[in-house]
Amino acid sequence: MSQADDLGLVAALPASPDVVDAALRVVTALAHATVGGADGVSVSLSRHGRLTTVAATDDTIAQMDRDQYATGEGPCLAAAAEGHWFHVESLADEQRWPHFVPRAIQGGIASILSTPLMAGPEPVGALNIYSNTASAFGPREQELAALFATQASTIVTEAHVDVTAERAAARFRRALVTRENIAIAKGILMSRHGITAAAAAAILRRRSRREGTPVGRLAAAIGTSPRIDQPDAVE
Amino acid sequence: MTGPADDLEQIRRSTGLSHAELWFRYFELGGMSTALEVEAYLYGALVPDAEERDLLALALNERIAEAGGDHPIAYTDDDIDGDLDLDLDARG
Repeated sequence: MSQADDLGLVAALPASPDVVDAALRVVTALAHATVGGADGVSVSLSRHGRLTTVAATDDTIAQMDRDQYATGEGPCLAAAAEGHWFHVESLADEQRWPHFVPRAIQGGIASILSTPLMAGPEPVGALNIYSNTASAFGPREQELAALFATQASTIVTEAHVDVTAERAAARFRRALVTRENIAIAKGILMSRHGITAAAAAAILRRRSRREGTPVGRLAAAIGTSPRIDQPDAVE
Repeated sequence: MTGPADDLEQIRRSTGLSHAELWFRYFELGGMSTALEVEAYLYGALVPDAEERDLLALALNERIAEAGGDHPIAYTDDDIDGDLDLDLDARG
């Protein structure tokens, strides 16, 4: 059976989250076996609004992903956020991601290729290929990585694991929290100062403008720290 | 209203926010109008009340602040109650 047939079979599997994860593990294993210079492969997927490693060829590789989540930077996060691939040819010379790179070097990694998974126009994760050798990935490897990333994207989207909707829902929940915080903060200001809702809103707007802090963050602070709307002595 | 709603539409374009994205931010800040109504405000087909207009201005100002700017769009009550917040703070 050809490699393409293997991939087609994987995509034809029925969809439950467990099966999707299993299918993605097959894709990572195939990528590991096929891409020259690949010492480990992982797939990161946005779930509940944050990236999670759903498949990794071994613990070192899973740890590389975790190090990126922990430091909040790295090629995997960049690819999943920006929707195009990121190639680290030599970690020893890499200037981006100063917190993550030393951890990767310590883990014995020398080069990384992260290719985004796409649900339509939206990036929803990344396929990450790690090598212990610098400059391991040339044009052919990049092409293969794109092929496997496309396959993983198809598994995710056609399995109706609707990552985009899930992410939209997570964002909507955050928006509702902000909205509620603002309403609470206005209520606190109204009660404290005996003013109208409009005047309370004006106070928040002006403080936001003066301090360059979003109203949502000011409101959250007012809600959790009852004296926060008081001025500094110098103001 | 301190200026035509057209100004806001022009600023929206310069920020790169889509109508949907601007509505979402406005909603997050407490806006009560629908996405369609907001678009109508921007195109001048409907006139928002001061509160809704200022929320749209705030959503745009915060977007501009994210990109490193200040809050260039004035609020409707800027000129009437210039020291409102300071007065209140002093009293509180």
